[in-house]
Amino acid sequence: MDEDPFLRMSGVRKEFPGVVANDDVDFSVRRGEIHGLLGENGAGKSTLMKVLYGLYDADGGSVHLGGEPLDLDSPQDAIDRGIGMVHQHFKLIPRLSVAENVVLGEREPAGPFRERRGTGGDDGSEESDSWLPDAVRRNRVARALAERFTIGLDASAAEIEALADDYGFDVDVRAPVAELDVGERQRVEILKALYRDVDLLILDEPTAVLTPTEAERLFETLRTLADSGISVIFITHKLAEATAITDRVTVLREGETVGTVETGSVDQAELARLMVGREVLFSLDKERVEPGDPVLETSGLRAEDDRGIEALSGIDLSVRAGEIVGVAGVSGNGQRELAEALAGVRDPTAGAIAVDGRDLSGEPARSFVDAGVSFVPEDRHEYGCAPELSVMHNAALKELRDDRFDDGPFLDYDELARYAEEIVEEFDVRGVHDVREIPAGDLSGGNLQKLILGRELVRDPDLLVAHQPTRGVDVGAIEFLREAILDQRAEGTGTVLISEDLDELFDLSDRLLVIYEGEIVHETTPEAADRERVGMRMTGGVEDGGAPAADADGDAADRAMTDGGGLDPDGATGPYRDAGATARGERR
Amino acid sequence: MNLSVELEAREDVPAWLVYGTPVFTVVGALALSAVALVALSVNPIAAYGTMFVETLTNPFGLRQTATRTVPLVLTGLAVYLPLRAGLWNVGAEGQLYMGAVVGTWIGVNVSLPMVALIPLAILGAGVAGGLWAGIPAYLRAKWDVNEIITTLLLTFVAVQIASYLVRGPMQGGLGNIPGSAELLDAAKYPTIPVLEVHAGFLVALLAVAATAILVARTRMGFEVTFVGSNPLAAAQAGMSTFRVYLFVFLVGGAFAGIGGFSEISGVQGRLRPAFSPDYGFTAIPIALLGRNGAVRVLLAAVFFAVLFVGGSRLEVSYGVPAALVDVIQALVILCLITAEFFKRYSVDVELAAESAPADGEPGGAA
Repeated sequence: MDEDPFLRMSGVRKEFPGVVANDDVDFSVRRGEIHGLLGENGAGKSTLMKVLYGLYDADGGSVHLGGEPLDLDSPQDAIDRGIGMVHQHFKLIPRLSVAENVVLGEREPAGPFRERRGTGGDDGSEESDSWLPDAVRRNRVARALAERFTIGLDASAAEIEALADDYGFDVDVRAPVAELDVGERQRVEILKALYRDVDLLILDEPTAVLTPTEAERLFETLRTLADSGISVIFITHKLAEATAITDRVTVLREGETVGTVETGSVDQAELARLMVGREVLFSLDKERVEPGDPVLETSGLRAEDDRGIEALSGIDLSVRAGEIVGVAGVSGNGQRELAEALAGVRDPTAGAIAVDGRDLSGEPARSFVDAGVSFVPEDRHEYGCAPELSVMHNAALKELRDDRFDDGPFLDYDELARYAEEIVEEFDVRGVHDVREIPAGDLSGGNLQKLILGRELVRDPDLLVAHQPTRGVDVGAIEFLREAILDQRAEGTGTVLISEDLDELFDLSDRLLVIYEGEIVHETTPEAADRERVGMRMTGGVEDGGAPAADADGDAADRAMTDGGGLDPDGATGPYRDAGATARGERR
Repeated sequence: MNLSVELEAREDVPAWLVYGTPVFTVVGALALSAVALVALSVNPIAAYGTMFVETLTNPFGLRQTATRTVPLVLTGLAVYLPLRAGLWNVGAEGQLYMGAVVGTWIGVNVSLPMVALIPLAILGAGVAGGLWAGIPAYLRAKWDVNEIITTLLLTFVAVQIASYLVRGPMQGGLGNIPGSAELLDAAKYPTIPVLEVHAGFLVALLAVAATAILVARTRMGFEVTFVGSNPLAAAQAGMSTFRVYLFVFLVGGAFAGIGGFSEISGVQGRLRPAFSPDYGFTAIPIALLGRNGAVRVLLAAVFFAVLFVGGSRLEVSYGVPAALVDVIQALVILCLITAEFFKRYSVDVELAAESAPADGEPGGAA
């Protein structure tokens, strides 16, 4: 392939009982390039990278880094060889601060034992401001003990802060990780790798939790890193990212290399075809649905986050039957609390929630479920399912109390299994040969999400609250999930779609709201929306230039419409129409 | 020569390991205990022969085993059921004592025919044990107070309450020796014909069957299992963790309470202070060994009953301290934890002839 690649993996084979995860995979990365590794879930991307990172032993094949064979027994070996990895599932310790997490395993000894940074080894010690005599400080035994038994976070914190600033990350390095939201935690993961002076950085779907703006910033960062000679492997199944950021792309499918292409020479449709093995529809068939009566109405909804800080500050929201209301926003602006409050999982501190005209404020989650509210939580494993229990247990979760599962005083497990099989069948959940045997946690992300969405939709809910329903799943599954949501819209389900993926929101929503710091700050429709304006509102910005008064009016109109719950969107957002046309032009 | 040990996280656990764990655990614990026996100059094979074969081959040993099984399996269920819901009831001993106190009071003071008195005493003992477990359950369900601490500490309270009662208000029949009056004959379990074991054994078997059906066949059992696996997802689906937590503790505590009354009614005849040889604590390894089902809890309880009976036999025949039973129990728990580790990791031990260059520690070189 390449004459002299920095990393060359050839003929890599990795088998698990019953599955060949990597079958004779060839993969090579040049120095200083951003190389996309593209493939559906289960295509073998993660396995290949785990082999590279020393987490798995390959069953066959060879790996060369910088011309030398790479034989890794553990991630520590990989780190020593200058390979860094940012995992999809965070490997952070919530109780520790950001700085402590970053230096884990790489910590500095306490101040007095430290050499001066940047002055190069022992030469600098004369100028050191340490109160310890040099003889002690430079003694190897003392140094070794200090490295083991003392920890100096002061220097690290400052250093990490500088590092974070360099790369445009906005993180409080002294805050405990537990207090950070998902997006911030990811940034800590990236910082962790950067702190270790890597030559090769592997990022496993890094943008899954980032906002578009943050993703842009990350891309710039990665570009800077690549320009400075670091090779970046960017695992993704988002085609837009692959084309936007990478120099070359290697596509994997079913454990085999489909090919490596120069990014400039292909378009997204071609990549999608390589990845899925068939044509993928990009435009969804969104039929016109006449919205019906309101299924959800909230007024002055307030809620606190887990720390007891107000996260929702008076949300007025109305969703009608057959309508999809998109909620855009940067992660951590109250989306999670909004979703949970609407699903009855989080008790609001003030305000009212009415479903189908019935006030459910203060009622337990069960009342919401019984009232026909379905909920797709943001985190599949944490809230969406019990990973250790069978597909059957998880599929039947919401309808458990239904009469059809009665068998005298007992629960009819055969009926439960049939019910689960129906969902598996209808929602194309793959990898399930026996619903009673396979634990839900064994399903790939996309299939698990299909199971969860299927479970929520098969009940024919009046209201669907979907929080990031397609986060971290592959193109084929995204297409399926979005179509399922649209089909349900045609059945008259009202949907609140909370997402950080603007494409998704623009494709699916009938109306689009922007949430910022717990308030709805903007309302528009996909047809009329200006992406830039939406993006700006997501980050709390107001229009630069133009008359502020007009802007305020626009907002007032937007609010009024939220309250009204369904004026004709085209009429209400007329003033933005021109801008909307431009925005559509920009979108592919 | 260099010994290298490699650990690799398992992708999936082989079936033989899943099902074999309790067996390996027991065999491992016995093998390790053999070291203690050898140290006491006792032939472990002969000793285990006495402990197990002799106990299980003569009618007296079998009867004793069955009798011992009753409180063990009932307290075992008291730990097992909350464990299904992800909670630790380490206070089955306290619930056992409370059940024994109330059951004894009824059995001493209420004159009714046997068919009414025994069920009434069982009910009273169950309610007492359930309520005693209900306190930590409520604290946990409502305020998220760690149930391990509350159940454990309430045990000591219960033991002291019983100890006070048999020296004060409930003392009777033995002069100055602490102990309650003897139970009325109508409150004593009849002996099951043929088996020649007191009727508490039947009660215990019924409790096992009820628990097995409850967990595997009912909606409540489904909810208990789901809450135990992921309480957040369960809450999201409208299940009430509050209800589930209270339920498992109330029912579990009731089983332990009935176990306490059964021991008084079927074996001891009167309530004495410290009447239980830590049945409620032995229940913890029993529930751990049998955590995959109520019937396994029964099997584990039988195993520990054999240990109890065989252990005292060993003491008589070989002069081995009965504390050896405690040693075996402790080793069972340690082996269980070890087995969990092997379930998660596969271990490769390699003996390399050539030693790899060791990382030079700067400290060592100086």
